[in-house]
Amino acid sequence: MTGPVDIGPLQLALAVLLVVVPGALSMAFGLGLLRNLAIGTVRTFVQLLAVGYLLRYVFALDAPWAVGGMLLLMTLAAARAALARQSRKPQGFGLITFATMVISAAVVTAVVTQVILRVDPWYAPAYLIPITGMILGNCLNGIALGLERLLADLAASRARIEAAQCLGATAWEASRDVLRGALRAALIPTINSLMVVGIVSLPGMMTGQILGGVDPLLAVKYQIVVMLMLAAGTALGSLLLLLLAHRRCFDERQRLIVEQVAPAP
Amino acid sequence: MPLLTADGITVRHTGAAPSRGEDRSPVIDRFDLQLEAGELRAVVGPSGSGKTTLLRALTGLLPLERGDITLEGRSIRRWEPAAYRRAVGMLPQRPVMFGGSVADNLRYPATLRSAARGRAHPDEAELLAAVGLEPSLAERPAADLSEGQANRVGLVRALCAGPTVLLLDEPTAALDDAAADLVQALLERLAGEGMAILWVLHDSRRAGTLPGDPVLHTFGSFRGARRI
Repeated sequence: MTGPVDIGPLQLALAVLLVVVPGALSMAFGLGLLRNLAIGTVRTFVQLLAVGYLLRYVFALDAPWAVGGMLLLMTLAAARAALARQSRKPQGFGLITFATMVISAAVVTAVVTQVILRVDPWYAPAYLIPITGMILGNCLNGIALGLERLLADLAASRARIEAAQCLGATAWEASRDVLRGALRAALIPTINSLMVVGIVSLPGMMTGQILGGVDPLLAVKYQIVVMLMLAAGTALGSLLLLLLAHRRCFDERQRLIVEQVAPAP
Repeated sequence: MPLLTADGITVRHTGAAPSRGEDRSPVIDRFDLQLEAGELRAVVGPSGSGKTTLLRALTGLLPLERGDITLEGRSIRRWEPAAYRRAVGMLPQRPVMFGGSVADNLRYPATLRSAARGRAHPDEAELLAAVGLEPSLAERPAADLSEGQANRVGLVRALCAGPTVLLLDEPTAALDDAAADLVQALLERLAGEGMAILWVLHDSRRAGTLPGDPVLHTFGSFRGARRI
């Protein structure tokens, strides 16, 4: 095998024909999705090509500051996306979400690149950027699910929480089962993906490596590392964020702040 | 020295999520109250007059806009919240039952960090019997209780936390007269043993049957709390 088959402008144009199928479906059944499909297709081209050129530039610079800047941008975007998905709009969550993403991605990326893979140089962009990106993407999903669940359940459990507090329970004692439920909600998709990987789905990274000409067994070994690092990153990020978010939902007198958990108007 | 005092407290917040155009005038305005150990006193007023808000404020579940609440002479702001709420127990009008059996609910206060170690555990069976419930009820799932049963189990659960002050929100509203009389007899007994009890109710006839000079305050119409 001599590396991947090149994709030229003509092949890319041919690929666009694939969206004719969902487009035709939308028209035939009146789904009203045609406009979004068109926008989505254009965005896929623009966003991915922009990232491609940016990555090529960062790879060419091959400097720690450039890699760091890229990772920072990715983390900011991930934190924003996690909060944008919330149906509630609690105050003061931007910084804790960003900090949580930084900590969990930094810890897990450091372990994977420096302890397990021992990449050289330590900031090698070809490793750091995709690995951090995968951790952030997975962490974002976990955090978004866990946070949505935490805020909704705190709102729904308010009477029960206050009943426990009236018996002398601290805010933590009165609501830790809500926190536990939110953490489960955050982790279940990642744990489920550990169950079905290789059977139901061939993960994108592994597929990409195999298409790129890497020995399938090596690609599988990478994928094992990736799956476990995603579980670690999501667990760490979700736990940190949910603990911090839980604190922000109670005031200094341990009263549940209704405005923090109320559905957005 | 009074056990529990409220000194000119003003409460604007009802605890509900604010909605657009909501009336934000105070629900409780410069309210004073003094409750001694061993007293059983009543606060009477129609539904919506602010009685429940008063109890929630006294429990520390609502912020005070003005004034102060003291327990044993110490400001509520200087009490650790959980320790304060353990000392000042509250029975809501519709107590929420936790999962598990009635016995699990009654033992809940003992599982908390704030539980006083070494303190004699109240006799649950005796308390259940005192409010007209069979001791065998303890093994029933708490979710199966009727409203009247849940109310009385809620009272026994609140007593299991060992409060020195007990705030009650309409504890007899869902009970027939016989059960209500039993609850009242228990409360009078507990007051005789030194507990300070504040009983909030809309039924002034029931308030009139309490011993001594029971009515501490009468609320007027909706949000028309008067200074006493």
